[in-house]
Amino acid sequence: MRNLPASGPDAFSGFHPAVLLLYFCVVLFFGMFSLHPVLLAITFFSEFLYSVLLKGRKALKFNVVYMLPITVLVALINPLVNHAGVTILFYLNGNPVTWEAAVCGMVYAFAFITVIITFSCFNQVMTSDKLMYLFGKLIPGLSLMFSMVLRFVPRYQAQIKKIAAAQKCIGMDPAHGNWIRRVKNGVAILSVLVTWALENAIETADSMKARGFGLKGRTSFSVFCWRKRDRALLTAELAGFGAVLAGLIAGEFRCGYFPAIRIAGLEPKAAVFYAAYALFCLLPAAVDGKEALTWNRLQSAG
Amino acid sequence: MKLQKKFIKILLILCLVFGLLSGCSVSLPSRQTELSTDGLVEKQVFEDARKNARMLTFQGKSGEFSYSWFFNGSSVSSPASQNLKVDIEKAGSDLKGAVSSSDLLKLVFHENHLIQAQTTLRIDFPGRLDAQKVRIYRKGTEKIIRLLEAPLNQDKTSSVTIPADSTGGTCYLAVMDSSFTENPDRVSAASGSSPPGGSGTSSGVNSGSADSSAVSKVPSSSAAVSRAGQSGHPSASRKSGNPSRPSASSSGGKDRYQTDSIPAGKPKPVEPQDVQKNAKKIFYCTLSIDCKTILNNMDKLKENKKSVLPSDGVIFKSQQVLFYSGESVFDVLQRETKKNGIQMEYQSTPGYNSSYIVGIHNLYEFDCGELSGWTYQVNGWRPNYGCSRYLLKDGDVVQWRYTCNLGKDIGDHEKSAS
Repeated sequence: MRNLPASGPDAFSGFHPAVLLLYFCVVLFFGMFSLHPVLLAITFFSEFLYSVLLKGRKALKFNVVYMLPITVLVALINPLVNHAGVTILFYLNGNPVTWEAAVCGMVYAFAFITVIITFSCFNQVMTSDKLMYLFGKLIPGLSLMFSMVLRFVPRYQAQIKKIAAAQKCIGMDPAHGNWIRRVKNGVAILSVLVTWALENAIETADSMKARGFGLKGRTSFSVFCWRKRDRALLTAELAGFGAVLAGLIAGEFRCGYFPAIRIAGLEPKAAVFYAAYALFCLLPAAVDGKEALTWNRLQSAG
Repeated sequence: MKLQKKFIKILLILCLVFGLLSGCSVSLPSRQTELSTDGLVEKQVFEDARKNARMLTFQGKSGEFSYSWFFNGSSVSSPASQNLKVDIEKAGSDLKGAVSSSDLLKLVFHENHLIQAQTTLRIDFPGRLDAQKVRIYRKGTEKIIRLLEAPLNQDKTSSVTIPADSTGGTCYLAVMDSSFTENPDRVSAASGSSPPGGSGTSSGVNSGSADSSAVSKVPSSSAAVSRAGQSGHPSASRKSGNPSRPSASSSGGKDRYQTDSIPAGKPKPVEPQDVQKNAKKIFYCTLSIDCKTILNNMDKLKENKKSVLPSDGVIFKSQQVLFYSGESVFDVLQRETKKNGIQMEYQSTPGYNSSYIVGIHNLYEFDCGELSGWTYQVNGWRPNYGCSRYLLKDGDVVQWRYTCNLGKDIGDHEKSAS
């Protein structure tokens, strides 16, 4: 029982929340703030791969149907509003359209969708109980509010269905009657919902207070415990992160697009840093792959 | 019971509607009044207007012409009772030999000393006139004095808005249509105006089209215009004027594109939409682009822009370039940068009716400190309006210069000294 991983969509999400958080923080940091094309390509491909591993065909569809048009749009808009750059391609409406702005637009577009895809993975892996576990002690009020807010929409949806059914029972169906009557009934349901929500919020707050939430010395239950494999993964993460940080400090990831494109770290010796970053980014995929292999081996052995 | 409720509801809605309507009418800043037949307006009216800083409008009629007075209440400094009656009639042969036009009107003001206020007078013609401008004259001791020139607002009918402090006594209004003539021997510009060199014909420079030559006449009456400009009220003229026409002569301290008054002897801005370009008439000007000021402020220059900075600070060596009749400084800059593969980015700023040069040769505004950017000089003067509004003349010397200190490092002190 003790060796069962906490439930989650995949093997990687069964690791300790702190290890998971570190991974996502680093990936999101580089995805947002580094416009270095090689780093961005590594982040994009590894997160794309992981999202497909996590959610299968749904992720593939999301990435192609929604992310591809956004990429094209952002990549096109940038050269239309930004006219800086030394390589003039052609003139549009009197202003030059430059190669640098076009490239920069592409980079922005990929950075944008990389961050979105990473967050979609983050939401799958870092469930609210993990966030509560991590931040409950540090900022109890905020993390309670956060987890409550996350619940709001589905909860209200369920409640509004209940209220509507009850109102229908007493003959105040918002789908029947003339429009004034319908609006009246609809408003009545909303008013009931708001009253319920306010009352419920007070009740929740009182209840949490009664249980001593946020008091000193209070412990909270969690299913997470620190295992050997967490330590192994953390070591791998730290090693990869350290190498990337060294590259960052050495200026290997420096890049600029204006007025001319200058990208550092295109020489072979920089490959070490890229390899380190790629290993770091591919950790979840590696963990999942190893798990699948073990599972297959066990099955065929059995 | 139900009926009663419904009735109350309707009553409430009616109340709301009336309240809104009355609220709207109260919040209107201007008040229109028909002038009485004797044209008298009591002192009390002006005092009220001053207290509430409200626009006053008085409408009167004389024959087939109607006229409106606009007073900016907040500018009324000495309220007094006024007679605002104006008699408008055909001038007949009053100005014979000096000015002739098919529409020559005589304006007789019943009271000369108007109260000190920003005042404009609009005259509405009964029909649409086939002309662009009118000129206002007054009889002097020897000659006819030309007071000012004002554009005609063409709507369904024509109207003209003139600043009212230039009027008084008896004035004459001549519509500048095809039959308009002015005898330079018998007409002089208003006293204190620039020498009449520019009047009549536009001294041969860049007179590509009838329109541009008409526009370049404007400086000849610049003193009258700028004097009028101080007294005319912008909102009054905007209210009455056709918004598509530039109203250089009837606005306040700034024209409708936020330009302050132009120093005497310097060319006035010319709206690019009013000028017809003529590619058959070729002229030459001298163009140069430099950023020498950056060389003295290397510490402020952005690190990534150091690669595009020319070592001598010259981006485009001073040279003769051609331009076509009716083109502005902006047109020439755009053509030459395009021709020579120099990067140049501009932004259209409709508020100033001009293009703004954001960057040339990848050196942008704010690249060398927060007071840096591109400026232009023509014949050594840095115009106080945008480069799209500077109509070029043959032989002009145009310099595009980068400043790191709001123009103080590229000879702005010379301007203030002169």
